[in-house]
Amino acid sequence: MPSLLAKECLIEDLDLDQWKRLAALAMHHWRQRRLYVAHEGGRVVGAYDTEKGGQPLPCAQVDDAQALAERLLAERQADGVAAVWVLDQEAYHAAIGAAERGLDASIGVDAYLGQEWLARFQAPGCGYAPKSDFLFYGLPWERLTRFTERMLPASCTFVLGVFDGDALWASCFAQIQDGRIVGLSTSAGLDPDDVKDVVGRDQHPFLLATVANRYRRPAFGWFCQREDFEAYMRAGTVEAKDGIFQTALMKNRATFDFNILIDRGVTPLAPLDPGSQAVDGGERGDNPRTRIPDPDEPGPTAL
Amino acid sequence: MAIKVRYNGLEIDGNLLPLFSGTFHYWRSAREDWAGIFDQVKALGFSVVETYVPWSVHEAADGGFDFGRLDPRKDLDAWLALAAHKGFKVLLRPGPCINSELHDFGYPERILHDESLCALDGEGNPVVLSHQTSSFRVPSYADERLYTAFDAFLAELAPQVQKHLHPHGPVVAVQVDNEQGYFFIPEAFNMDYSQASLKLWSHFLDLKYRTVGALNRAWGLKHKAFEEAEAPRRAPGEGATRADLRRALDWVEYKEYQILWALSRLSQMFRDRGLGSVPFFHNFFGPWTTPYNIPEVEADAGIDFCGLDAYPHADGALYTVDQARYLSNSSRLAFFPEYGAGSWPFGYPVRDEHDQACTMLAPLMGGAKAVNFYMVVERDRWLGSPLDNKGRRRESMAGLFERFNAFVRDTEWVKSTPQNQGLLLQAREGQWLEMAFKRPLSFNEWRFLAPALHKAPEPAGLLGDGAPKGSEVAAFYGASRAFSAENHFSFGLGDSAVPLERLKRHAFVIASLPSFIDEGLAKRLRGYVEEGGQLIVGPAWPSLNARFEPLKAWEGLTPEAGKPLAVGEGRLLWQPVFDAKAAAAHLRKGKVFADITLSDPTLELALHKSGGRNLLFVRNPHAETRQAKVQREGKFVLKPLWSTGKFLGAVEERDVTLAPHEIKVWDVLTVS
Repeated sequence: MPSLLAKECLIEDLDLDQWKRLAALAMHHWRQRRLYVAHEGGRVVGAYDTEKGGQPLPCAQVDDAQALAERLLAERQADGVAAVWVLDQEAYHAAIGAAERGLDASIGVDAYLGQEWLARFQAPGCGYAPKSDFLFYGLPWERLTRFTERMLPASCTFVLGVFDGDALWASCFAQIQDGRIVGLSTSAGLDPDDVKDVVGRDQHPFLLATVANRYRRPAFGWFCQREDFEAYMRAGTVEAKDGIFQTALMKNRATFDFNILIDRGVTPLAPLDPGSQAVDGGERGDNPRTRIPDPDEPGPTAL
Repeated sequence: MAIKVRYNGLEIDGNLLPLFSGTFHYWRSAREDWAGIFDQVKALGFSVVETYVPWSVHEAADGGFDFGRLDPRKDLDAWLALAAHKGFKVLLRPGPCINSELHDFGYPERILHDESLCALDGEGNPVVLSHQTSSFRVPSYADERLYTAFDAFLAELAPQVQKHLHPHGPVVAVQVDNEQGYFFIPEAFNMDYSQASLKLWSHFLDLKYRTVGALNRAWGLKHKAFEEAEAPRRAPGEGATRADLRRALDWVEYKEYQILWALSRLSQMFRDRGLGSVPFFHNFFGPWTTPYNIPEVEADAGIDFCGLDAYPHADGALYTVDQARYLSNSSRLAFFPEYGAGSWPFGYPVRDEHDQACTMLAPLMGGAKAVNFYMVVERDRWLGSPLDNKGRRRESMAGLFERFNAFVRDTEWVKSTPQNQGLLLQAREGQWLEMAFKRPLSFNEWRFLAPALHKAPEPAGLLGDGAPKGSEVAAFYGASRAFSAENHFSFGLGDSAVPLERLKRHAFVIASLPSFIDEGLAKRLRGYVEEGGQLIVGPAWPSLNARFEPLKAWEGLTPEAGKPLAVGEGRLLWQPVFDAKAAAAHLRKGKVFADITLSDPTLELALHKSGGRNLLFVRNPHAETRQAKVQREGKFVLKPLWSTGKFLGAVEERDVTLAPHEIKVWDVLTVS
């Protein structure tokens, strides 16, 4: 899996309340209740619940770690356990070590953690339920990478707009260049006068246009209601996320849309490389292609 | 040196400079905004600013260095000159590690890509850190080539900094490296088994044992040279002997030594490059137990003062209070080189305004005398600062920082002294014993596996029948801390390094000890109790010194478990398991009573004296509002000085109300 997230990604203009909501959902699994069953070559040596501490051993021997993890999750889900790990710690440690040994220094954290995720399940005696493809900050990363690569132009901004009633509850703008995310921001990066007019999901075209002009590239976006977004982020598997995503679209509780009408600063004759400054670690404002336009200054087409 | 490190700040040419400062990264703000930003930082009440100087940012693609030649934002010389012009003093932190949420932690990528330079785990795999937007192999701090590479940067940097060092310029202290110590993973057997580190390990054994014969006696082996002494890669398991434990403990101790060695190496480089006319400082990332040894760093590593970093949430501020309690007994200057003003975007949960408000005074409650707020000026990969990256105020946050600086000024905080009746002491040997039974863990194992899985099984009887395990020593400390808090004693924290004179300032000491301790500590504890102190020890009554030889300092003392023993002017109680009732009775008989109590035992307090004021800090650990009655001998009123919400006037009260997770401060006024 290639890196979608550029190492040098600029992360700025983060609205504190919005980002807190997003981060709480993206990282909720860090604090969800888990059950760990540790064994040594199949002999169970310990069981720990992250809320209740040490537990009686669920069995004496592990023959099929994945089956045991799934059985224990099915038994304890009603009691609030969200995930179950079964692991032979020595084998697990060795598997992570092998992933570390194979680190390609040029790839980003997303690609590395994806590799490490796969390595975990190749470790003998390791099982995890609910079993899922790699999730990066709660997102189905492989799918997003493929979507970015195949469905989006090389340079664009992907807009997430989450509405609670009519209010913009959370937003995230991923600026993409050459298939990689080179910038992350929120509506705090926009003119507050523009954002205040975004009241309700049906106002999303205005938000898209504002983002397209602010970041000087076409904008594509997913706009949804808070309840669906929370359910999507909390779902533990890629398949479950798919179901929530599709249902929200079909029931008209979510919208996909785009805006490629950028102001006169960008023309077919202009160099289409607005993100290179960001990739090089420079300020967006230094780049004439990404600078916020001065309305009194004619753009290239006017000359 | 014209600058002296005092317990409450830096004494510069005879005048005290309190270190309450804020971070402003010059290379992350537009140069034309610098002047305005400085003005706004000053308006918040700060007169000291802090910045990193990142090696990776200044090393240009052409192999040279860019200090403004290519990018005006990197003109450190101009920024320092402007800081001086605006009346600021500066704390400078040139790395080599800076973290700073940069994807490379401030190391040029060529360093991180050099496979021969990385730290190795016990199986010979590179140690990988996954952080923010990158995963990279961490460099080995035992490898001389890291220092050679860094010195090229230092050679370029030093001439620019020298002209800004006090008395010629605003720089009053320089930090040597950042959060040194195995990249957040304290577990002993995780790293570093690189060739360079193993060479340093041999050197450490040489320093410790002096002769191979002594090493062989301790380890039960027949080596011919220190180089033959293999480094342990796992906790001693079933069938292990006392000699195996000794070997594991030596590795745990070596992990402290490697930090000392690396900081010593770097501080000498800084001096060799002409930066030694101002004090050097360092920061550990949070924990103060092994392998992080602040007293040793200040004694042996060429570091003048060493602090701890903290980014607490509202519900976790007590850890910060304890950090400060430890620092105020263990460092020359109880300093937080990084204390959260906002946070990085990938923390969970993201710190918000409630967290900020509830934790502003946590360092002071524990006795800290200096705090650097990181970051007061926002930048990429950060959020929630009081000023944005152009220096524009975020009113609600900015007001909080103004109030903090006013509080420090109005209470004359730099003159304050903690009124601690008790000192809770965790012997370093107990920390080593606990650490010797941790599993090796990669960064992501450490982060995602339940803490219970960090522990390795600890065979019984390695130190003799009934000798407590490391986990039992830790449990004793935890129980003694809970006892002190619930009984509303104002207390400090310390470890094996606390000198006798400091022990004697406390009416009681509770020492958490394993069955082997350093002779020096034993001697000091004996001196303390003989001179009238009330001492409680446990879970072990140590019989061995740190080399597992018979302990001499306590010869003639033969306490029975649970029965107080008069020793000189004082009294001693040994408890194999901490018994709160017996401890309370012991202190009562020794006429030790809490100065102030609260009707709610779950509220924790701390007392400080400053000028004529008696400052009472109380923290509500609960997520709901709590009320309590304050009790004290004699008539008194409370004058509120600080609350999380609005600033209070001269309201007087004795029945106090605390909002969720709030820290409140009152001046306790005696009335006739």
